[in-house]
Amino acid sequence: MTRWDEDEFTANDLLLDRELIDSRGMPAGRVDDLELTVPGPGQPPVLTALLCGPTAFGPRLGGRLGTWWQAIGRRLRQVTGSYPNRIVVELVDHVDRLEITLLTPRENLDSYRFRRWAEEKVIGRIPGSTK
Amino acid sequence: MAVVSDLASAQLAARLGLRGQSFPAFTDGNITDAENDADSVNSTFGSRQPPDSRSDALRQKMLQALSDATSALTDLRVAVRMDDRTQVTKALAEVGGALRHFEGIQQELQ
Amino acid sequence: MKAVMSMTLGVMTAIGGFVDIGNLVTSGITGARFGMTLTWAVLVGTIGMALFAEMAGRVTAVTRKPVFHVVRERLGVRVSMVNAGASTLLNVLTLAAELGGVSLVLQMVTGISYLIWVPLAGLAAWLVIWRMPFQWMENIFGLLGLGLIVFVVALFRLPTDWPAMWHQAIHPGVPAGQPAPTWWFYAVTLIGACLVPYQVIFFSSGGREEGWTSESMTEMRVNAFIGFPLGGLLSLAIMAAAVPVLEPAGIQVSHLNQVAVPVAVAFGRAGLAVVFVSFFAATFAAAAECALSSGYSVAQYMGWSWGKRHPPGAAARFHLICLASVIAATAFTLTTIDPVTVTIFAVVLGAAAVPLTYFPILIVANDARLMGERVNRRWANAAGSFFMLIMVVVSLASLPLLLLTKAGQ
Repeated sequence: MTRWDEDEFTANDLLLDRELIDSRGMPAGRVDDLELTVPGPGQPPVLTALLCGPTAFGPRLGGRLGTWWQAIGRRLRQVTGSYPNRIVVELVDHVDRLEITLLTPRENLDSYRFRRWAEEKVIGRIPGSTK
Repeated sequence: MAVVSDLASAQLAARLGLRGQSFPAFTDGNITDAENDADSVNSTFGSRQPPDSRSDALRQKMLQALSDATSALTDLRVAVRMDDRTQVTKALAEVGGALRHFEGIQQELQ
Repeated sequence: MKAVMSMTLGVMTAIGGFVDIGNLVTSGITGARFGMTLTWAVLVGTIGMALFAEMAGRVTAVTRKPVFHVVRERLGVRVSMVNAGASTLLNVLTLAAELGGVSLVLQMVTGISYLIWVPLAGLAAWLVIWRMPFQWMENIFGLLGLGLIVFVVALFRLPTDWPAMWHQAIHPGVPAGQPAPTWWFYAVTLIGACLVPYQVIFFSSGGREEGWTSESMTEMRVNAFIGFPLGGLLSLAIMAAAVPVLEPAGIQVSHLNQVAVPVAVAFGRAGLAVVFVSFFAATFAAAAECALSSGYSVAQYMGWSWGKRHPPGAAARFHLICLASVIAATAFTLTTIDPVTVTIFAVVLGAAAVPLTYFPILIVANDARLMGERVNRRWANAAGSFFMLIMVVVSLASLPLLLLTKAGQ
């Protein structure tokens, strides 16, 4: 059950651009966009997932820079296609003004790819990186 | 006048060196910087063309003063590197002369 | 007792940490050329920095997030990207200036050309970021930087004309024979030198690295309101020392070693040795802080893990950015552009960017829902807004003055 600090709020207030913190307290990126799904005919949309990554960030940025950012994102993720990384709302533990806490460690999230590249291919190769 | 600053800076550095108030590398660095700066002023000035004959006389004076200044600074740098007190004192006198030369030109300009 | 010790340490490192290559160069140049007539500029810059550092520190202590982390949430994606982008570019330029400064100090000491030292300085700075514990870095270099006090002491040994200097300080005006636009230009550089973005980014993120909470408010305030102004005083001492020694001889400062000459006149080799150590500490620490600030800016904007408190593998992208900025800055400095010139440009552009880099702090510190009862009081807002107004004027004037005076001719 996700805990929300406020009952009535705007996406801007509480969700967009908020930092995601995983179950171990490590930063896991920021919320770039929201996925809303209409559960049935005539019903209001519900929040089903938080979206992260360059393909979600690009459209928020807008303009030429945004399109470019999005294109880079698409290029880096041939495997899963152009839909942004999803963090289903069931994985969200607590939402407050400062951050959104998740129930899972960040290794389980799709957005791990760039971090893993940096960790393994660059930083991991330099002596002293594991102390 | 930038070259006056270079001469004065080198003069002060050399005096500090003579009095044992600074380190050789520091003294050398100051004087070499001054020498290089004066050199570049000299080459820039030398490449400019004067607009008329009165300026030409002044220009000759300046060129002479600049040339004296750069050779005085080179002599000072060499003397400091050789660690020869007599030479340094002599070179300092040269630098002093170059400074007075510039003072004269400045007074003429006013 | 432990708290007092820790606070004293904090102040001392703030004093030493405030002064970097920008302050060394601009103070030396202006003292030799304009006497103490630009004292007001150092005051403006120092007060501004103290004011905004306190705000940034307060945000960090209350929210337990570094202030620029919150900026993206408050100001939106585009504005905060411009802010983060400008800060990062400035950080790299400033880092290039600091590495140049470190190399110049080593040239001063050894006589070996500064270019040889540049890659070594870059490597050493990066190693400190990579491995040295945060507290060590702060304490060692902060305390060594306190050696700059030798300039204050030198003033009592040199033929300092205190009444004349005081008169100049309280009657700001272009000295006879000096071009006015150049005077104003150097005023901008002095202000910029106090307000380089990496300082406030580091103050806030560093506070987070040290685990500041609401309990740390006093410690943070002492650093900001006592440490930084004392650092400003050190800059003024460097300016003042040039007055009895360089100004009468007509010596204009264009090299870092000239800034040290007054101490050699006052105390000879012993004083000079202290200057070497403190110049090195000030510029080297600043270099490490600049590189870290690049990492902080980008990682906080993107929501990546950041900070020295994690083992590097756990903050890989942060360290990647730090490494990249050290490499970029080293490459830039190796192009043999005069480090003093780079420094002047870094502080002028820093001054030009202040509204962009500091205004978000004012906004965030005013957010009541975020700050609770620690939100900006009226005096903080009045002072902060007034200062921002001054900085907008300075910012608008900076680039025209740069072009007009050809960087201070």
